[in-house]
Amino acid sequence: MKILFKILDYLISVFMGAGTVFTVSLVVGEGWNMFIAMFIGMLLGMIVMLLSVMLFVYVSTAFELFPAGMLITMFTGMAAGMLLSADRIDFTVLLWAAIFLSILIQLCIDIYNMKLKGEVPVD
Amino acid sequence: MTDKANTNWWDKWDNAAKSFDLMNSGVELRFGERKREWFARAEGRTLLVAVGTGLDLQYFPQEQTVVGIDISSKMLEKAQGKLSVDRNRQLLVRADAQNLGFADNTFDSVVTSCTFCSVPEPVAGLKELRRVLKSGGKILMFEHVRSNIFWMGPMMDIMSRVSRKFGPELNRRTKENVIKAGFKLTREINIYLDMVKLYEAVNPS
Repeated sequence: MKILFKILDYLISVFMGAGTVFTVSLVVGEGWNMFIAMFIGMLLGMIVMLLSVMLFVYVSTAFELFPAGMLITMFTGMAAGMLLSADRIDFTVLLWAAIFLSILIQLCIDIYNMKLKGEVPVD
Repeated sequence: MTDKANTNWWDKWDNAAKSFDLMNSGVELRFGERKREWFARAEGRTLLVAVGTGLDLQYFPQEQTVVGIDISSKMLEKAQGKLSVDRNRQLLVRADAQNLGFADNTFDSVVTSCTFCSVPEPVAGLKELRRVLKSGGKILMFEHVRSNIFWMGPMMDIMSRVSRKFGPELNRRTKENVIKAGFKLTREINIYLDMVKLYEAVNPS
């Protein structure tokens, strides 16, 4: 069961990263001011995260969805906004980069969780 | 109720009652077994604070006497359906954790499950729990708290401004509150990062 939850966590992370890139690509276009595009990308990422939390809270928990989700959607949103405004960029490359970043962030969170998990010394 | 700001603070929980089970299904799926193990440490007459819709009643053995309290009558209505077959062993009472109607030293154990993210004045609530808990009695807590991770804590502070309007606060410092209320903290276990925790504390007096 634990392994199924873990696989699900990674799928949700990929959904959030890819969903953010997709959403940002619908709004931000070539020629946008880079800083505005980054800011809009971040905001759109946050919206994707909140929608994902509402969608997946039935099989995961908000505690687990927020830390990874915040990092994934913020970073992919800003990067997608910046890249989409700056130059012609292949959407597929951007999507794969977002998927890779999402898995990496989820992995980092899992490793950090393994480090923190367990008994805390009490004074 | 302790002050004017607290007036009808339970309205949001009445509103949340309808979707509460569904919204918490993930928590039960993922942390249910940890809760069962942790709550099994409760002994004797046990007070379950903020029983909600009764999701946590399943984690107590049939033979255990459990008094579940909640501020929301809508939550308690839903919890009625989850009471064990032996109704003499499980009882539901509408009460405010900050102002309980029980006599001093009534309970052998107290259990909380995502409770102190919702009580408006957590230290007052914990002091009240200490009053009704017998000397040497244990409080067992499953709580989500403010993270000390450098970027997560401030984010939780910001998100709490919104979340408290319709649900829990995300940035409670429950460990500090337990100590402030006069309990002796005996165990602390991280369940997920440093945000979801189990606490065990003893009433020293």
